[in-house]
Amino acid sequence: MSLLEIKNLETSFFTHEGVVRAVDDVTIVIDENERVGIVGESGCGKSMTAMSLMGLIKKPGRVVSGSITFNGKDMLAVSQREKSKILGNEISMIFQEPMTSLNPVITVGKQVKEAITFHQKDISAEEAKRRVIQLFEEVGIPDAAKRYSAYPHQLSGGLRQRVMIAMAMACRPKLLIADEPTTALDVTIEAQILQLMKKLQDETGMSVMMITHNLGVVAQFCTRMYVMYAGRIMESGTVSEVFKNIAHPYTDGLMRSIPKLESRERLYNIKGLVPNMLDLPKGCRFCQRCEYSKARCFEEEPELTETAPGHFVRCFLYTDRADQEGKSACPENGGSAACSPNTQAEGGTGR
Amino acid sequence: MSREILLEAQHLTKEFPVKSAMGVKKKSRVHAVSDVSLAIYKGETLGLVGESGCGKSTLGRVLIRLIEPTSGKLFFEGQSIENLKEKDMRAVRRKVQMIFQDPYSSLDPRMKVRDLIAEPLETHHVYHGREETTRRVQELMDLVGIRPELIDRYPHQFSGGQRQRIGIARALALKPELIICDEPVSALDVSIQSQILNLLKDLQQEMNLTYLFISHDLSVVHYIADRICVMFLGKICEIGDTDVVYERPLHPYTKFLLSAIPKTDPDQPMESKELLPGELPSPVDPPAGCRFHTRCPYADETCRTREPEGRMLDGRQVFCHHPLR
Amino acid sequence: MEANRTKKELQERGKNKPDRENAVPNGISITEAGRKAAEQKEPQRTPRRLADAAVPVFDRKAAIKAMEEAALSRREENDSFLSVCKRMFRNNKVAAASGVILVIYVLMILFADVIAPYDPAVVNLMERLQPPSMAHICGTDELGRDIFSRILYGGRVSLLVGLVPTSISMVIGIIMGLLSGYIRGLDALIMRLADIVLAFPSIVLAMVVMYTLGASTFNIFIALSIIGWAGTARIVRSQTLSLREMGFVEAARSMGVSRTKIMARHILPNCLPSLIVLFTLNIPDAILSESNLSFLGVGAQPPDTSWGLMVSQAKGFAISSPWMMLFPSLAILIMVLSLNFLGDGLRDEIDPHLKK
Repeated sequence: MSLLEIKNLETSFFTHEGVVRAVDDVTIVIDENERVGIVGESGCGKSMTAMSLMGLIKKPGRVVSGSITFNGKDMLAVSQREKSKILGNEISMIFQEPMTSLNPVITVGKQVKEAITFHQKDISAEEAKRRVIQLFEEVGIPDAAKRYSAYPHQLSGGLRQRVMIAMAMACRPKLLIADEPTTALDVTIEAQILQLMKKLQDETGMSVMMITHNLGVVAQFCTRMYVMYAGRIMESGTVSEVFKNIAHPYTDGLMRSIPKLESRERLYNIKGLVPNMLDLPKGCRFCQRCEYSKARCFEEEPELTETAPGHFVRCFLYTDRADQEGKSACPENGGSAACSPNTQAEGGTGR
Repeated sequence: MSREILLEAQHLTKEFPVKSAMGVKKKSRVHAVSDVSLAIYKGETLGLVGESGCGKSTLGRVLIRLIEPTSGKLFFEGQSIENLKEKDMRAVRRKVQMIFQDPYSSLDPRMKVRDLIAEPLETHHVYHGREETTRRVQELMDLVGIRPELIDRYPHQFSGGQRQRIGIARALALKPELIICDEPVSALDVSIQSQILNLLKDLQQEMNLTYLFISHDLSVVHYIADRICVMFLGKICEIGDTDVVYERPLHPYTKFLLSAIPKTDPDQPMESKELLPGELPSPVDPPAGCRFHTRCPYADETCRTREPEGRMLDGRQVFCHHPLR
Repeated sequence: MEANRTKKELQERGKNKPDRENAVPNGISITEAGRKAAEQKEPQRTPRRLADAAVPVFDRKAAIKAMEEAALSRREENDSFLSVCKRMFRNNKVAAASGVILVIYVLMILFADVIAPYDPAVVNLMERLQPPSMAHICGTDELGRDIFSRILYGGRVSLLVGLVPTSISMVIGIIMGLLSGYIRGLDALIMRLADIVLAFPSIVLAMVVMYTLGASTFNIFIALSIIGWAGTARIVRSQTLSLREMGFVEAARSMGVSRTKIMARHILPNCLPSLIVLFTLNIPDAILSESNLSFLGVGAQPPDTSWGLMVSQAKGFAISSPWMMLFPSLAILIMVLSLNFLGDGLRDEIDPHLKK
């Protein structure tokens, strides 16, 4: 059974300049005991998806349509009281900058303790403190008992993130949402945190929704992934499938844009810029930057198509192919232009 | 191989006094850069890597006296510059430009692109007359890939990548010898990052530039740098040709840094990785001996007491008592 | 044929240097050679199906350009003073209304000669202490002078007192603040000076100056300038302190831009939004201070009049003829309030880079 089902979610911001559809028709399913990555560049709507789920969208934005079902409950319909029972208890979240999400004038131990006592009213103070120290040990904070009474600014970035993870894990959540948890950290600390999160996930069997711009983090951490671009999901599938058979030109471009230690070949450039969310192209959102775009891509938007079991792609390169597979009109060895709609028609008559 | 040295630092040190809560100077100091000696050769890209707080940005600024060094010698094109008056430094400043990390704060929000790029030209009285300046500015915009029609826009009307291009155009305006790039791509998205990296590479070839490329991202430095200098807590760990260092790191810190990078390959699981334990020690009170010894799994008594000297090994200089084999 | 043409196109695109974003580096995935290689051996990173994908046959470049043009023209934003005002009118009705009221106010005061129904100095004891009526819409004072006309003429003094000393004190304050914030050596000296000024109750300080120099409109300017600069200096200093750490100031320093130029070109313009607000807040302050001084008898001297002086003179008749005090007070109130609202509205609109 799936733990979280986000279906056709649309979250829009109604600004002076116009309506920004930050999240547009997004469907994400997360099963139990799964690590799902949501990748995309800034402004693609990946964080907004998580915010919609947590009910943190502020004016002038709101969830316009779609449904979010968590553990059988409709998250968009539950009462405020019920929601506060779920958030922090069954769903918890960690953020990019732990400093801003920790209160600077309260010791970290107390803050984690509050997270526990808020959801478990019957727990005694002594017991709660013991739990906190135990949690600190679990997340690898050295001198856990001593750090209990430390203030956030006395800890390094890596330790603060560990405190945030301890707080998130306090109530053994079913789903952990991690919004760029390692972006502000150094590489050596990033690796430590990722390993820690993986260990905790293995032990507790929770699901993790990892929001990141770093394909490396997804490759190392996640089992399934969604690639978002300009509010839309462009590609999704298991990490091993997507990384081996990259289908969408955008994912491909991203992969080839990353400098790698193995080679020093000239990096690929996705040309142009991310489109302004107020002026989205009429057709496919990626058409202006895509190397393969055809006339049709500028006119209409492709639907998500399944290219391999569980591997979905939003691109006409694949919908066309699916249409044509029956006709086999597109000669595999022909000129590279032969698959475009125009020549396709000619080829058809020629036969 | 004899190469011309463009900028050289000898025993460069920068310490910041620590202020206590009452604003009274305490005796303790932040050792941001400690006894660093390095040379930047003409036409090369020297990559400066390290984790945050290792002093790489400070070093970049001390090298061109944007921050005054506490002690040490500096030579630019063979001329000693550490004691030059600000008036005489202007000639040096003209030849050394800087590109900054944050494309949002490094451009004055109240200036148009025209004025932003023309500022170095005006400061050094290179061009006369509005028309000529405009032509040069548009040339530069074209060079970095921004449409010259946008000359009268304000920075906030551009995206991060475009702003960084404007910053690059401004740095190029005076046809400098050396450009200090301080994390120029770390605030940018992946797809924009590769655009800027390629642009920097192309410009280097076209204009025969020398770069000091400061970054925390080892993959980026690997892509762009000819030589690499790894820093830890104000000290150099290892400095040498990029390929040599990446192929077979001799300093344990370099090795751990390299293995920590999340690889874009799902078949290389992270559990098998050997991770560097612990956190960065405080630069206010750096460990005695080798500064890395508190995190180093190979450290022994010598490391705790004696600071390692630099020695040449396998074509690179390494500062370690027990370099890896 | 088709393939040849596109191949050539690609090569040309690759050569086209300035158009860097279009450059196709190792564009193996779509060239003929790359396609063949892709068929022979599945390359690791090149998508299976992208490798033999279609190459465009229609004018993509034109399509993209048209789209970008459309996007750009929409994003056009003007930062001229006029368009700032326009935006304010659209977004902030209160500020807009205040602006309109102010303009009418100022016009009425400037054209007092034309509008005023009576000479403000002419005494008519027959009509003294008249309540508001059709003949005297604001009533008359104890000497039978028309209050409405006196408000119009008194406004001239009040407006002048609002504008001139505020401008002088702000110029002094800006210079002091910039120096104090940017040049560390001067900081302590200037700030202690400002502390001294701020330590005295401003009205007492102004009275001291007025008593020493003698009561006259011109001396009010001097007194108010002396007490006004310290506040401005403090605000400019604190802004300078944070701006000097900004990247663009560091960038300017790295280019070798001189200190004076950095202060004038980078720091001052970025203080402007708060300075405009400060200006609109300081004007009513000055008007009130003048009223206070006049009320205490050291401000404008008869036969000159000002709103403050009128309120002061009405104090003996506050119960019996309340209109004498009411209307000049209202004049001050409306002026002060609308300036405040306008200042707030302007600040919100003038800072386009903060909104993004």
